[in-house]
Amino acid sequence: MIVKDTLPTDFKKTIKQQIGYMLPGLLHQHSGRPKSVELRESFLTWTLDLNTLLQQALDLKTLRARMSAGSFLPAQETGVWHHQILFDGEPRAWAESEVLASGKARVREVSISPLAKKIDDAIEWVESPAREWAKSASVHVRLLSLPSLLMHTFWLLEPRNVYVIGALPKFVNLVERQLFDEAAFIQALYADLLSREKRNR
Amino acid sequence: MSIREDSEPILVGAEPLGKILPIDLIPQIKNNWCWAACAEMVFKHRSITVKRQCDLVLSALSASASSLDCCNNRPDGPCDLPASDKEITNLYINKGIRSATLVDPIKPDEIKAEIGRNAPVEIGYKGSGFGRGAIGHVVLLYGWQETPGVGLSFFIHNPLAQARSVRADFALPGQIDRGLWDATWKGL
Repeated sequence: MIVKDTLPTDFKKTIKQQIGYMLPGLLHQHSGRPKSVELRESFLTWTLDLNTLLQQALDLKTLRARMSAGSFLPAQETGVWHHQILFDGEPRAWAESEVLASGKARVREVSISPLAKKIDDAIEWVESPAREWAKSASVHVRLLSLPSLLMHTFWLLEPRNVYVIGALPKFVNLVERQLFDEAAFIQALYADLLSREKRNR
Repeated sequence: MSIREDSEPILVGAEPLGKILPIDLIPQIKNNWCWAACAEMVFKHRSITVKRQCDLVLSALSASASSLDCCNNRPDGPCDLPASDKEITNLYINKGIRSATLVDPIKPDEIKAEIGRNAPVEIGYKGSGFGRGAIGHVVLLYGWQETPGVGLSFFIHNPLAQARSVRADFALPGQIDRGLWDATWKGL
């Protein structure tokens, strides 16, 4: 059984309405309006605080040992939801929303981007009967993102694996459509980040 | 049990109040050429002839790249180079946009004023984390809209093949993609 967090039903109406308001300017320059626009899957997003991670685990060996001993990937829930958007039945766009202190949902960004298709493909991959976890009692799928690195992954609990959906093309260790165990994922992330030059675009 | 969800229709609203510059997204050809793709979009918008993205790279990085073949079709290679902020500014000035200026993050009204005079705004930011491993990127802001129920939002072309509408109060407190917005090119 494969499960994920579920978007509260009462947020959906607001989210769909705001996406509808934000789309026209984007569609303006993208081969006209599609005949149908639909909201599909929603994922609660998780992230890694890289600075904290570095401070807490200067020694990668220690981090790996800690995780092998049962500690989970040091990720935090962001309170931000990712929404898949279909144009004429195809995953072409996505949106992000958050829940304000007032309890109301607010869409903060809509993007037309290949990421929507990549996430759709990743859902297919995760749900393939060929996957080893297909017969497990329960696998919880979380969307783990590092937006500043354009990195999006599916974090799979209980196999405690990370499947890379998209990453900066500059990365050489964390490449798309690869499955890592949590510790190997952190190691690859360190390697890619520390090899970068400072302040260059 | 599946994580697939049923589709629910979204009603797309009417054309909102705002201004969107007629700039098409041009993706970066190589991994480090976000700055060259943004420059190509700006030059095309200003009707400044640029044959290829690789020619921009050669003119911007002439000191380090003059002996390289930047226009081959390899996905990577010695010419796949990032640019410094100064090199980006000089690229615009040397190609005839003498008003190009590098400044700190600017306020929404200044962005609207730039767009109002048909000038896109280039935004540079870096990914947070790991100090010396910070990763820089540039995107091009090409429009804004004001919508009831949403407020002010901006349109941004990311050369990594994304066109996006970002709500102003999310985009502008100094963060883009939760990275740190640390440079702005105006007068483009």
